[in-house]
Amino acid sequence: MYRYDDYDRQIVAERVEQYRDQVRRRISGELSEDEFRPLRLMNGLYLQLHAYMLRIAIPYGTLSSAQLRRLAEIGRRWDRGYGHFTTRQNIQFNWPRLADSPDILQALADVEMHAIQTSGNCIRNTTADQFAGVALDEIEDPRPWCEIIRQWSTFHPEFTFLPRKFKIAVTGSAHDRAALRVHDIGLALKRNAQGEVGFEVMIGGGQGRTPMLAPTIREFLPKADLLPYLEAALRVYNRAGRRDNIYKARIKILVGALGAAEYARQTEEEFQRIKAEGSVELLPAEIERIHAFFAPPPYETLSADVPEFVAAKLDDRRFARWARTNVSPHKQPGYAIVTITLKPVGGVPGDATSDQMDAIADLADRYGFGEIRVTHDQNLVLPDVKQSNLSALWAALKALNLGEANAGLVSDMIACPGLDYCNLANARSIPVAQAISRRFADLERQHEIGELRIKMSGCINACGHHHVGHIGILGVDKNGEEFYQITLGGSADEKASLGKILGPSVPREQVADAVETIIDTYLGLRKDGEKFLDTYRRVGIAPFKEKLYATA
Amino acid sequence: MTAQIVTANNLLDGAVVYRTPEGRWTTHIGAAQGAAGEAEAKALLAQAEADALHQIVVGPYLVEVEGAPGHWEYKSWRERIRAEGPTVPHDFTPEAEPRRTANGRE
Repeated sequence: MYRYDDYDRQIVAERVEQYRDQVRRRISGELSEDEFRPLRLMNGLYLQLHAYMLRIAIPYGTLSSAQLRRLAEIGRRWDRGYGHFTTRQNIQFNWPRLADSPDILQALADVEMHAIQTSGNCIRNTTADQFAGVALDEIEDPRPWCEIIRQWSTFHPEFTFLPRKFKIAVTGSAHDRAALRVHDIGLALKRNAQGEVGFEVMIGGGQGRTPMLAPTIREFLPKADLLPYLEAALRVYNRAGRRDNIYKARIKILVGALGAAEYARQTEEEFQRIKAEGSVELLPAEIERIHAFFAPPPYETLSADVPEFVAAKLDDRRFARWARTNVSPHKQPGYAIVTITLKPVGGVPGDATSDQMDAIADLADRYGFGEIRVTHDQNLVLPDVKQSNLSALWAALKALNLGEANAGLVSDMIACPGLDYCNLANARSIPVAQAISRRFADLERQHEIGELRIKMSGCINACGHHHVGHIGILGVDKNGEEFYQITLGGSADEKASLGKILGPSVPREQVADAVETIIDTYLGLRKDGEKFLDTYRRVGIAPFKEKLYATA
Repeated sequence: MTAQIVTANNLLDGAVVYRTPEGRWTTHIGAAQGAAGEAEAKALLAQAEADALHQIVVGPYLVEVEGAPGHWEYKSWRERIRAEGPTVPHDFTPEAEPRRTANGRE
């Protein structure tokens, strides 16, 4: 993991003190709310439906056990004993007091964390593949590049007041677990014909009211050119992005208006100018220095065959089922990657109590190297678990109500906080997720259905990624009543697609029924080995539409 | 009857509060002062905005309700959730301590 140097420590410490003084001045009346609002937002403090909400950055979703314990402590001491992990791999606390917020930021700074740039029209926290550095299918670890982007983008003077917020995601694997195509910029480490590793650059993706998949504007970018190229791409946007209309201000609108080829041309032109000036040179020594923080941990030399793991699966079907969904192959023989789904039956997707966070931190120390990852689908990951320890780990997770064998299945839903917490929402998401979760509580049935990603948002802003859900659910307000529009066929992986609207929206109490009808239709149509998305792509939307609205 | 009341967030803790006929702010919607017509509503909002200028509350605005003082009925889901809290309380979350009003009284 990256560790702060003196420079990092100083800028974060200074920022906390600056913010502490701003809060003092707000409470004393020296600052009005209009003057203070942008200052609190620059430090992640929003005012939501019931209270303030603090959004804390978790750089590329990577946490140490000490940091997770600190988050647990913040939840316990300054909030209501729980936090909410988000689709941006961040964590949000829903009940902090304004007066306490400087102390919370200080507590974060003490463990090398902050809430800077978790709001505002700037470059937000860079996200990444949650399996970065350990994935079997990885070309190269993207984390050093995420860290380089983090350092470059933090307080970048040119990109502090962009037309709109800006989100970058990075992966080093062929299988996209970071939803690159729905980001402002997606970066995928790739190998070219000469065997060199560089980036494929995608630009202008996003969801919200105008969903778009990011086109590729550069098939191969040498790694050393990453920062000048990003600088060029952002400069084009900063110069030409719409500032007259908030709904047309994201880069996707500009890329859509210019066309990918023209955006690429302008970026290339700017890139060459920057290179000629030599303004953002990424020195090999600096690249090496950052890479050193991400050196592999001291793995034991183990056999790829682990009899204890095999025996445990034979011994307990429930464990075997969990291993099938929640355990992924690791690049190091004898190790595994474990996904801890924050989706117990009837639970709130993405929520974890302070006690659970503490317990997971302990498990990360006991069964790993003290590291935890946050996933964009609101789960946690232990990246380095010995296969021989998987059975014991699962038993510990079950005791925490976090041992559900459902990663990637029906109940492993993404859901934004919705109208239960959010100022922007039109409808609730959480009760809908809970109803679906309870309807499909039978794990046997979930495993029979297979991979199926349901994603729901409480408003058009699409924080719940509904556009790229295999089944997407969008809450809408119809004359004060909550209705939900259903989409099918979305996907956020390397074969990304946007969902298509199935038909008229349905009232809240009918959503679980509708999902069940869709799933039953798929089960009736699927061929051997097909997953939901395969069947949908083969047969199209019509059979689902007929079934759902014939019975409506 | 349909009336308008004024709601805001308490500056120090963000709590949802309502302005009372005595000019205090309370977390109990039932105790909110109702304004019967547009002129009354405007005057009520003006008083609330003065409180915002004195660092008591943030973002006061008018909300339509039905019923009578002491028994206001919400007209939208949003305002109901603001008044009553999330509809999905955590069964593992300890009950929050009773929130104080912006001026320190229940």
